[in-house]
Amino acid sequence: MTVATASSENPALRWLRMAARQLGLPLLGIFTALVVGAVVILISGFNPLVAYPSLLKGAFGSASRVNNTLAATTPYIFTTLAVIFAFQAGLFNIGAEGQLKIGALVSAVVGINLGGVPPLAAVPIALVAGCLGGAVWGAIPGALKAFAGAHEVITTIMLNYIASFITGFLVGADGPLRGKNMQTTAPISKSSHVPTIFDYDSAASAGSTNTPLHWGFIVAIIVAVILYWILWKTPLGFEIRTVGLNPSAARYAGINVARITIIAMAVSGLLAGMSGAFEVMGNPNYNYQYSDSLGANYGFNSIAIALLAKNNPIAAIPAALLFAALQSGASQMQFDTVGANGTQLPGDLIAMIQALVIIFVAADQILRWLYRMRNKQSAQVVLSRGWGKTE
Amino acid sequence: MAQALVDREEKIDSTRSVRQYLRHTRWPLVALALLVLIFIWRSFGENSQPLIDLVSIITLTLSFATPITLGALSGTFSERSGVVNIGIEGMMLTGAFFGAMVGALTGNVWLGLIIAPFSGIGVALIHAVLSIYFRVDQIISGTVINIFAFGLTAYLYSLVFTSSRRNTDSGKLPSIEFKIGLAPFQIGLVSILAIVLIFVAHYIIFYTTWGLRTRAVGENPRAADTAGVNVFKMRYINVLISGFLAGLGGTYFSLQVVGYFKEGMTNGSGFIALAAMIFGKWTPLGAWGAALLFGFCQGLDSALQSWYGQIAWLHTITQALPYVVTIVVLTGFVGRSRPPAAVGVPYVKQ
Repeated sequence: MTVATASSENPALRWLRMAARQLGLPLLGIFTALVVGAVVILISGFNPLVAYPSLLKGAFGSASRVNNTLAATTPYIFTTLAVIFAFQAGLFNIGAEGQLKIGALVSAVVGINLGGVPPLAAVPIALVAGCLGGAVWGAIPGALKAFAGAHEVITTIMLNYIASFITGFLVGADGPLRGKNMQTTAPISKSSHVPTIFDYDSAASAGSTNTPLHWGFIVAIIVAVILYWILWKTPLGFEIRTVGLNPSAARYAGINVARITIIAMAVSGLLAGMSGAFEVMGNPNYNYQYSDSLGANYGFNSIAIALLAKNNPIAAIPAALLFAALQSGASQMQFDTVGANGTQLPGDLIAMIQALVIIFVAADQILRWLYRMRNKQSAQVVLSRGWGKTE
Repeated sequence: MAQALVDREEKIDSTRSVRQYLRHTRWPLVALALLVLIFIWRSFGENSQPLIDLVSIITLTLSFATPITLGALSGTFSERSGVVNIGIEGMMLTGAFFGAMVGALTGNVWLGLIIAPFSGIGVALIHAVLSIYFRVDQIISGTVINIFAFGLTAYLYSLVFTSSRRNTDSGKLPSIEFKIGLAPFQIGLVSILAIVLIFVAHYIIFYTTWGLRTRAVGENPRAADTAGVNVFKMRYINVLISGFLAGLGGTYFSLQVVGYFKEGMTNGSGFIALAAMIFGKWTPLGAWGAALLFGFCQGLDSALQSWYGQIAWLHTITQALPYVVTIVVLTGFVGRSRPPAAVGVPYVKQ
């Protein structure tokens, strides 16, 4: 019966209804989070009707601000795709931060030594090097999980710390890769710079702190589409999603679960590494060199964005945009929203609102309960399967 | 079903004493050997002061092990009842913040010590409701808790302290100091509390009805339910106990060590604590042993620096050591461990 009605329906209409159902809960979650955020702002003694519009203004108020927001979105899209790809295989990769750092450092080291190479070759070489760096760092927890059963949630977090100790040493006071300043390498060669698509500020006025938008943004969108295609239109994607939904069934069906686990984590690390490589090669704010401040908090933030995107690679783009917009609008909000005694609304409110968005979107059961919606059980990836090797 | 559960418990009880005996005689011996080695090592060279160095490394170990011990105890209670708690880090951070905030606002550090565990309970309640009532995947719920706690503490810190330029000094909890020979020894109040709580937790988990029920709920909730145990109640209360202990653990960072709050000051201890819990095979005494090992790694880092000055590569290795050890522990090279059977699985009453 249900099959018959579904197929007799107009496909365009069905697609719309599906999109609405997919979009409905996340949008409702964002709305609820903003409402709770408004209550928090009120309790803190500020006016949400001042705070929210100026947050919006800070993120999208002018061409230069849109430019900034999009530039901040780029690295988030990559790291979010990294989290999503692993998640589809039932792996919770919290290690995007470490993978990004290693990828960025490797691409910087390679980029420094590409002086004589023409840009058409230098850019791909440095980029691929960064991707490989991230892939190797991501494959480690994959292998640990596949061969020793060590839970990736803990190992990736541990590897984040280990990565930051290693990079901290390499670019530290006496580090072998240290450039002119501490915590950075030498600048990469001019030929490995990723060109800028659009730079509002260089058109308007020189010497501002604006971030030009580089080609990484376009690449990020293309990669999102490719990942969607891999996950839903290829045998590899089918195997990955099967492992994610039920590893024992996958094993029974003849899928090499260990192989898929390592591949998924390596690709995940590759995407995070790409994020780091593009920041080094395309973001002038880091002066075209590796900086140890790269990637801070990207691990948990991209998890948040991935949960918001419901682990859909295409949805990762608007979700990353939302997070980047919240962050780039924060300082304007802080500046504009002044309380009775002259104090400003702390920009850290954004971190709270982000957390609330994730609570409501990740745990959509709360929303269904809040808005008295029917509870629907859908196939869910189960992450909590014990911590370590169990025989 | 109930009879099977009782049989199982009896089997565990009879084998436990033997295993514990083995475990607790092996590790103290290893530790003793290690300390003797350090003593001999530090005896060479001019101006050697082996006793002072030895006592300083014991002091450092006990200090660094404190938050990991409390975090691991926190995880033990939660996971024994069948709820994975990856939010320990966030609960600790919340405890660290509320302890420091109350201490700074009232000028009474003791009030901070009392409030902190209850702030941990508050965050744990969110985790409990999400994972027990709403049956959200417990790993996701815990991760959300961590993100939320980071945002909450950062926001409240700016709101209360930064914008008003209030005094952030919460005062510090006292510690006991005395000299062993010429060597100064020091142990903080939170560290002492942690050691006392290990034995309290051991008693509760293995020698009380409450503990038996907690373990039953974590191993086979259906059987426990059939035997008349309220699975939901047990899980809720154990997760709240977990929050209490993690919140207390947070006070180590703010109230014990520095006397103020700093954003993200727990620095991954909650995750190391989880590894300590696994290493300790979900027992309080085992967790303590593991926490001491991690504490020793961190203590060695500080000690080596004060002995040889800052050597960058050596510092990097000793810094990374606890994190590497955590990974090695998880791979099962250091003894297999069996988690509670029902951990991570939401319970649905039929």
